[in-house]
Amino acid sequence: MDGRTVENTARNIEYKPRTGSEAMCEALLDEGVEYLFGYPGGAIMPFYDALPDYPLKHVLVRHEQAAAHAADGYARATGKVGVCVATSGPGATNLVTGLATAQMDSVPLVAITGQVGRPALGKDSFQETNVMGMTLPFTKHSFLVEDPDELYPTMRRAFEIARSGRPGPVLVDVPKDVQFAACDHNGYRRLREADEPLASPALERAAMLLRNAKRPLILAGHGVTLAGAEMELRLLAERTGIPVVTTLLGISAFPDDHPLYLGWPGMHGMASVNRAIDRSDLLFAVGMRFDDRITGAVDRFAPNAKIVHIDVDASELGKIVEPTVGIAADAKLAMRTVLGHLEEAPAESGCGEWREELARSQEPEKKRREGARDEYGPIRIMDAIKKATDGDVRLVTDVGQHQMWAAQFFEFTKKNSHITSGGLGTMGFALPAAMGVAFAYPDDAVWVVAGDGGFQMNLQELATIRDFGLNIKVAIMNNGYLGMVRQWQQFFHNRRYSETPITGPRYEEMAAAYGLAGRTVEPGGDIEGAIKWAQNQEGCTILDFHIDPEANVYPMIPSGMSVHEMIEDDGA
Amino acid sequence: MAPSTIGSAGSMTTSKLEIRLAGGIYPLNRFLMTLQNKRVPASGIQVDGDSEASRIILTLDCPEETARRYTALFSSMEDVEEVGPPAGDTADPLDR
Repeated sequence: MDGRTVENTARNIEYKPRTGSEAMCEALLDEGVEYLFGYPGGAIMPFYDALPDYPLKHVLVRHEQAAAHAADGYARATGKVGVCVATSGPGATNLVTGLATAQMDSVPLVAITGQVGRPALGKDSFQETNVMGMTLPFTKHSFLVEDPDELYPTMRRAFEIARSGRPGPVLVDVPKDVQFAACDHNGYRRLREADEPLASPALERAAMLLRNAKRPLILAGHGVTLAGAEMELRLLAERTGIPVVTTLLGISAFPDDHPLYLGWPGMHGMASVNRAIDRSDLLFAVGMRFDDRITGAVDRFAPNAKIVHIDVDASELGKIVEPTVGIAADAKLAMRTVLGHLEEAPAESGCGEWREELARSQEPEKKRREGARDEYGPIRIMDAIKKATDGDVRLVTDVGQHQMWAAQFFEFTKKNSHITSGGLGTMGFALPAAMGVAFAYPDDAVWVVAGDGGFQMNLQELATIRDFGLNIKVAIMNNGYLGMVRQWQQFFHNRRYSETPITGPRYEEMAAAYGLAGRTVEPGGDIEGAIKWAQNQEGCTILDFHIDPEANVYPMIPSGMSVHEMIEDDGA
Repeated sequence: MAPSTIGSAGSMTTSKLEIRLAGGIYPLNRFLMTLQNKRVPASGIQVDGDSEASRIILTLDCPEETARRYTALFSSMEDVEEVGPPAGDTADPLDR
């Protein structure tokens, strides 16, 4: 017995002093963590040794990138902080893409990495990388904890930083000997309180602009979902009668079947929505950051509009678009305040004519879409999934053409049911992110829509999905190409399809190899039947839809251009 | 707190900011990475500090509104304890 060990003579049990690893687990418990997604390795072994003694559920992934995406999916679906764990060196570097994905989309994550022991730091030791330095550009904060007594409070602070203000990923790098070390300190200093939202004058002015506008639009982003402000958004729209458009990540913050919902704008957004923004005299932009995929040429974006920009991150105001009124505030608080200022106003702003004009402008587009729903292809596949699930589904998409088709045609009516990598556009995101969603909502239908390129980037997670019996249904839009890049090559590189044709396994057989059910659907095949069959299978099922190799996503505003250069179809 | 404006040419302004950071190499590293990451138009950086705190005087060449935005960005950083005009600059033209 060393000097630090205490003997409990009453029961003759030795109580060891708390170790760093135990402090880490206690911090996780105190933060209410249920699931960790991770992969063990040398430098994180003390933590994994402590883990079985705590009521924390660990999900062993097959690649650390998937751990970060799974934690990300869990966080997006629940609004809680997602947690992933990896070892030092390659384990930590494999997390990097997932952390950058979360940072770009403001997703709260805590990533725990093991590090070589303190005496080995800076010596190019085995599996040593400066992960704190490496992750600085795309984490909200990175810690390297060298004092065991700081471990518990640092873990708690990491969670608070991750979820406060504009959420984001936080890395906690812990040297192996710090995990082993005895630690006593259990103090926890709360961070400074979040700033109060700006006082009423700016929000009152925003309300006045809403009241007086003739062609207003509400442009809602991911910040609405992150703030849990879906109800406030709906109340504001219905109180004012102002049409709503969303960003890609704002999809499902407002029901697609609501009469005030127009769709989403941007590079592959609806032509009529892009034109509506071009014509609008007021953009009430809330919880969004004017991404270049939304604005195109900034100097020609919404040229007739006054802009109210509300974002919890003050540094976003004026970053891309100069707002008429900029308000640094949480979306929920801000919209509640604006609603308060509108109490005395007439029930609806005078934008009835504007709504009629917009409805007329959407008719040709809607007719075209309805016609396309009868043809074999992505639109009908989205339609069939929607119908088969009655819309009560969480759809996780990868990145590329299928992502745009899903966003365009799925019609999301369930709150926070559209999960995708927007800012970073991370291929390989969908399957592991869907694992996080499925752990969060085991009784909900979870569908993955992915391309054959992106699906192959993290398909090793089928083993994790099988092990845990996750009920994830997968629809692969298999066109044998890296489809979005191919489309750009078609439009802008004279059809020179350089390195975009791509092969893959026979997914039906691959599913069988993982012990899962799978089916191939050839062109002209029974889409609806296959989807019903998948629904009736137990556990994860893979549908491999072979689609037109040269199907394109329309409309398209070429990068850096405006709505006036929009390509609307093959003949445009 | 707005930066201290010390000169302007057209819409561009030269502003000075003093940032006080928690001490040590990590906070300084995180701060410098943010300058690079956000492409902050810093034409001058002076760093002074000890184990307790670091003091940075930053000269920004950008429009006043942009300087305010960077001030908001720095203020929200975990390691930043204080942002404002450099000590001794009592006048703050942007706040007049």
